[in-house]
Amino acid sequence: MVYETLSQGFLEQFEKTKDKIALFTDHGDVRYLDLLEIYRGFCHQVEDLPLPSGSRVALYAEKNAQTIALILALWHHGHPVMVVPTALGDKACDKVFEDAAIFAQLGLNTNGTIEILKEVRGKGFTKCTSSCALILTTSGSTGVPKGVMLPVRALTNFFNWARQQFSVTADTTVFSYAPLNFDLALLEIWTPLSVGARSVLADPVKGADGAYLRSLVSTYQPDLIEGVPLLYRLLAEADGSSAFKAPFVKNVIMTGEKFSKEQRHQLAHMFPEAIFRNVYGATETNNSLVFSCNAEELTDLEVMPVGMPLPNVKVLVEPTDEPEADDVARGELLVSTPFQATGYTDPVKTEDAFITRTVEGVASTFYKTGDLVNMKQNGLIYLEGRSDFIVKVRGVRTNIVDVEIALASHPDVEAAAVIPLPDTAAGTKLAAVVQVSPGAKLNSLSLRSFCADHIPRSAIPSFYKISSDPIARTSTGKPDRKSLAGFFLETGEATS
Amino acid sequence: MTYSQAIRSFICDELTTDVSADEIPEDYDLLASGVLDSLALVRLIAWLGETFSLPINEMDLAPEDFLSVKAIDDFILKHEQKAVA
Repeated sequence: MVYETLSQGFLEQFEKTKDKIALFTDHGDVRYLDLLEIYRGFCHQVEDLPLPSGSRVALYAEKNAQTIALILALWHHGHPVMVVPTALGDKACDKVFEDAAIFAQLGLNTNGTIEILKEVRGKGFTKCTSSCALILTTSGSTGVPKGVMLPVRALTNFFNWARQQFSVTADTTVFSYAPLNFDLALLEIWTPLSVGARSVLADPVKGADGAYLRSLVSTYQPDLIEGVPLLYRLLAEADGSSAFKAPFVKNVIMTGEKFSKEQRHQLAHMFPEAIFRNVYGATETNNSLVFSCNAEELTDLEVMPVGMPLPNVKVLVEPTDEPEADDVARGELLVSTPFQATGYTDPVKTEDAFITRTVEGVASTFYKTGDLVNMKQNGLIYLEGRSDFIVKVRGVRTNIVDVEIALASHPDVEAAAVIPLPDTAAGTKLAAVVQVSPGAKLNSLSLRSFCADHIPRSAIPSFYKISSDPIARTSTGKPDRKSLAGFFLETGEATS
Repeated sequence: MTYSQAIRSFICDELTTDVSADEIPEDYDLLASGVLDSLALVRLIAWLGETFSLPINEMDLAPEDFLSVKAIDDFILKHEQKAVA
């Protein structure tokens, strides 16, 4: 069974480095020896579970040594594993499990014994032939999460690439901010484990506590740190001070969203010795493009590109817009990577997003990213935004993420989300939900004036909800635009 | 006499519902801030015509006339006097 080779690779590595520390956690250090012991205990238990051969199982993404060891034990016994967010509700779980042909959801009780939490017997569980080892879920911003099926080949290709690209060796310490169900965990947890390195497991429950995150970074001095803008902002602004410096960090990976110039300044200040890599990817393809620079270049850049394709990654830009003067192409980005999923657990969704294109006589499966990009003559690719986030306001093309960045750059604004609302006259009008610092005296007039200095007039939002309440977010931390739009539509705010 | 209070009330009732009338500074730039976009401008002009009996259709209008509460107030005063004369 192919999964055995995957778990076997990890176990051979664990044997070689068994006296070393594998994981730093809030509950103590975990050595490779400890991981091996937990794994062996689980292997015995899995053998006795009434699971059909090769059936898929689901686990909550508890970020700890036990879950990691259990995944390895399940692979060893030939079971593909779906890892679901701990916050996923019962109803959403049922739908996701059904689609993914999950046989059962497993969990661990307080004695560390494996329990069958729910026997799902998802449709077609008996005839799963696909070779996926790991099923991750994409964010639920558009409804129920989609299961993304990653084959062994995609995982091993990724570990090999990541070790080389970021010089991850047995002496490396990697900071892990993302929950275990995120694709980012492949780099932050599984890659270090594949080479005998160490991973610092930040507890996702404390993920918004800047002081906690800062203390982890100071204590364990990681060589590599990967994060979305939120992580770096929390690190930089914890305790209201901006004096934090981590010169020991050699690799800083920026991912997930656009970083504003101010955020890049913060990064350069915090990590003066690092190489910065803006990495573009999706759960479906993993990392696809990268742009590297040092601290000085990071702050000098007006706009940061998402860079160039990684080795063996193919890209296509399907034109949706006329290219500007120095563009080669402008349109939706399609990528094909060695780390790519075989598809979604729902074949209909797979057909929509994974398509075949022939490039230089070779047919490959490309993933439609839904992101709009510009490819310049020097080969660099610039991200314009999600195709869903580019709207026309009174005929003017407007990227709502740029509006969010402009609002969030106000010193009294903690966070901002912008929602396009349909409007009979203007086509679209923008509404802004703005979280201000406690005690800040901002109203729509002051925010409009601020916007007027930073963005075109047509992009200034027409409606505002301003308070110090945190903005509603999805399980992956992105603004929950659907529920935010509801506020404006329900209150009649957006009817003037 | 000025009409700035009435103008402010119109703006906050119709366009910037989160602020109260006295929060709008007299010189706040209503055009650059997008409070008065082209559609809102049409509504404002119609309201001015109706409320202050101004012969809007016969007037030459320039965007600067509606730059701020102060500018709108001056606009009304100027044309009201003309109408009276």
